[in-house]
Amino acid sequence: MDYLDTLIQDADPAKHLAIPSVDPATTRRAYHRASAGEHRGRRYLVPATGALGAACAAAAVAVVAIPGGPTVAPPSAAAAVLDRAALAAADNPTITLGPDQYLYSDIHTLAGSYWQWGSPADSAYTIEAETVQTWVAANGADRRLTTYDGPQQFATPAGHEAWVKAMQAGEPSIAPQTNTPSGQYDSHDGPGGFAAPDDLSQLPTDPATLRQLIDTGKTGLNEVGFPEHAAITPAYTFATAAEILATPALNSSAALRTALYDVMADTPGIQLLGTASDHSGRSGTEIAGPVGGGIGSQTPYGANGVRDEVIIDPSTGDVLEINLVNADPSLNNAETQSIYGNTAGQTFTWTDYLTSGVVNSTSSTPGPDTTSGATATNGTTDTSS
Amino acid sequence: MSVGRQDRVARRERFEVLYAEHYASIYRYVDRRVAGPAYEVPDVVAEVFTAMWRRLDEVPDSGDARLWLYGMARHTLMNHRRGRRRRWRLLSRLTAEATITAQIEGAVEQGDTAVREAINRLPDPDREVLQLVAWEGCSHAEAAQVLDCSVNAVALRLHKAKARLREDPLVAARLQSSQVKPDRALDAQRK
Repeated sequence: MDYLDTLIQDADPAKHLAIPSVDPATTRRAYHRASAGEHRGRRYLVPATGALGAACAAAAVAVVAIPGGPTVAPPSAAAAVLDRAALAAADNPTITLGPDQYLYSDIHTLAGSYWQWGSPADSAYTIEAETVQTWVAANGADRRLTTYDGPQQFATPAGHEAWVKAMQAGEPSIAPQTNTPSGQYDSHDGPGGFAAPDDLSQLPTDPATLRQLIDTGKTGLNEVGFPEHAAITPAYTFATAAEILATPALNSSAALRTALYDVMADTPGIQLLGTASDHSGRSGTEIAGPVGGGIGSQTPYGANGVRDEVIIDPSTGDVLEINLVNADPSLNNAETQSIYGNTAGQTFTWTDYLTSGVVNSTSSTPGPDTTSGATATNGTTDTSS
Repeated sequence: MSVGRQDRVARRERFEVLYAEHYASIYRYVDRRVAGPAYEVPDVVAEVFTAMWRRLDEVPDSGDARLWLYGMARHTLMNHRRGRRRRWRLLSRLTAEATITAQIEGAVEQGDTAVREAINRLPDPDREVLQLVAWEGCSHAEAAQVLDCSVNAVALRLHKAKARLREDPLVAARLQSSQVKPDRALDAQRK
């Protein structure tokens, strides 16, 4: 090599260039933006543009100096499953609701109920599988039909003993709530009687913005509980994103579904548990969120050792089931342990998301969906009309 | 899973593998050539990979993907420069000619910058060959693949580029100060 060659090598402007690192999350974002660019014209893979962006990138982006190149971590197996689900979910149709139409959904769930009819000792936490069918119109008119699968179970022996004692004493507040000959509970409300179906059209489709909205409790959605007095944890974020994906709602776009799966995939501590069947017999792939409490409305108070486990159908991107499992009993407080029990691996609740679709009356259900396997999903037809 | 979905999953996986494998190379390639401010580099890199997604079926397997991406980056940069060229062309030329005499005396101290500017003043085909070989580490055959020309054409352009550099007043000043006789080691190494 002569001196000219040395001069040329030394003149390389990229000789000491620091390049933003490429991690799995960056790569996923690159894919989403590149594929979005097919339809939306010019899109950027790196959000830091302009003078401010350059400054931010220089200050905040993890860099790997040359030589050596970027460090490419192998993608998380759980994240890869969620990415595939996001791709499949993008194909699902968007639900819209016309006048005189109802959004129908049914879930099969292990419902937990806390009963107290006297002193704290006069209490019990019961669990019972039930199927809840819901018809909701845009104006909030609704019908809810709950079918109890039974038998009712008690979380702790102490609770069972207290319940039996109360039944023998004729305690009226623990009588089973049924109002049909078949033992179901059927309720109807007029307009405004029930919350209108969630409209997801206003949620952001940028994963970072969406995550921020979730973590500040500002999604504005009916079904998302927010732990006002507890710290927001990755477990809450993961569970909430899964809950939004699973809950039938209006105007959920492909971009939003992808963003929700991105939020889940980018949550630290998620694990791939493998193939699993839900409590309704459907097979899917199970992903565990991090330990640390799930959604506020369904997590027992002080249950910091629980985690949400989500079963996904990777071929459709549908969330089949969400379980709330006692993963680390040592993190749960005494109140949780006494009321709910505290066995490692114990399932506090589970919910199977079965069918959803638009129907024309509160006595009809969507027809079978021939394109997505065993369950009817969004946008199916009304068999009554 | 339907065939369509399988295909999209496979395409996505291929995109991500290519992106992770070649992002740094393309970033460096663009950084070395971008006409505008440094903060435009990520934009151009993004455009390269967006173009790669659109033409994913054309990306060759194996190590040739890097060369294909160099070609794509080259075209993207040409488009990127096109909008700037009209307003910058005259300014660049005037700036170069006005300052070149004044820079000669300080060329030795200016070092890398002076040589870099001399490289930037090379005709585009010659400069691109020089950069591919010297900075991107391409062999003559690989450079020929990127530029869609013959290996002989690459060798000729490289020779012309280096000859022009030796004639450049700033570079000549650096070479004279070194008192090192040139040889053809780089040419031999790349062949």
